[in-house]
Order: sequence, then structure tokens, then C-alpha cells
Amino acid sequence: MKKKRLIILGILLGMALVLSGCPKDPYRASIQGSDDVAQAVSKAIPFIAQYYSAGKLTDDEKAKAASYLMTVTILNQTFRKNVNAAHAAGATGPAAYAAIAQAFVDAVPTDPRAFHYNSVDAQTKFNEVLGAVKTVLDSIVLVIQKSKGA
Amino acid sequence: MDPKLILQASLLALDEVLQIIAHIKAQGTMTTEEISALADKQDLANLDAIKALIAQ
Repeated sequence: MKKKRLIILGILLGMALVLSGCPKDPYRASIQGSDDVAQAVSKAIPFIAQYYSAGKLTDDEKAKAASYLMTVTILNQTFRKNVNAAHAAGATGPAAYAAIAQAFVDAVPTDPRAFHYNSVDAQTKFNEVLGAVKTVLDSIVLVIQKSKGA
Repeated sequence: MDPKLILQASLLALDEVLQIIAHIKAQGTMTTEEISALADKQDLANLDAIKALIAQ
């Protein structure tokens, strides 16, 4: 069930990305990627509150999930600041932006899908929503590399 | 495997993808600077919400 849902979601996500096309320039690709990360984090947060209130997350599990999202968010702010600085300095090719994105990805090596939860429901849900954050984060470098220099 | 559960999961997945497409479409109508400002606001809102969660 869980695997099938993930497979279906993966296929549909792939279709969405293909249909949406790649951003034209690496600056825009970087900023869009950063916004996508912020959106993915935003979608994950309510589930922590919901599952904790329902008793499906322990204090430690809640703290670990929240801490992961906080780390991603703080580094996302830094990533965007560095991207805007590179743009202001005149960077145009994908390489400069891809390097900034790679530093962002490398700074968050944790795979939240490895987190363990006592509740099976929580395990399924947080593999999905925190996994989505990780997927969006990891895809930024590729999207920038596929963009065209301005 | 219950076909109803599979259908329900597929519909949920489809809804998530439709939300992603809507977001991508919204990004398409904005300048890069506007998207950056939007992400700034979202990150700040996220941090506030995460801090509230931790304090809960």
C-alpha cells in the first residue's frame, strides 16, 4: 500500500516536472527551487502538530522532525541569500549556482526517511512528507544544471 | 490489496501533484525577485511555526 502510493506519487511528480518544464535561467531555477523547499516544509509542519496532538508522535520524535525542518529552513534562507548575492555579482552560468545548491544539499546530509517512529501511521506519513522535503532539496542541483545560462 | 484503498491513495497522490502544478503555475506569473520575496516570507512563517511546535 505504502510502496504503491509512493510509486504512484513518484510517477505523477515526474509527469508534473516534465509538464512544467525547466526554468530558463539558473538564477530563477535556484530561487524557484528554494521556494519549493519552503513550500514542502510548510506542508510538513501541520502533520507534526496533528500527529503529536493525536498521540502518534513522542516528544523525541516531534523534536527530531521539527529540528530537521528547522535546519532545512535556516539553510534555505542562507542558500537564497547566496544565490541573490551571486546574481548581484553578475553570475549567469549554471555552474556557479549549482555549486551554491550543492553546498546547501551537502549541509543537510540527513535522510529523514531513516527516522524511526513508534506509530506505523506516523512512520508512513513522515516518510512521505519529510521525504518530500528531502526529494525537493536533492533535486535543486539537477534542475539548475539543466537550466540554460542567461 | 483493497482496490478502494489503492484508489484513495491514488487520488490523494493526484491531489498533491495538482497542488504542485498549481504552485509551479503561480511561480510562472511572478518575477524571480517576487518568488524570492515569497520564499523569504514562507521561511519566516515556517520558522515561527517550527518554534511553536518545539515549545508545544
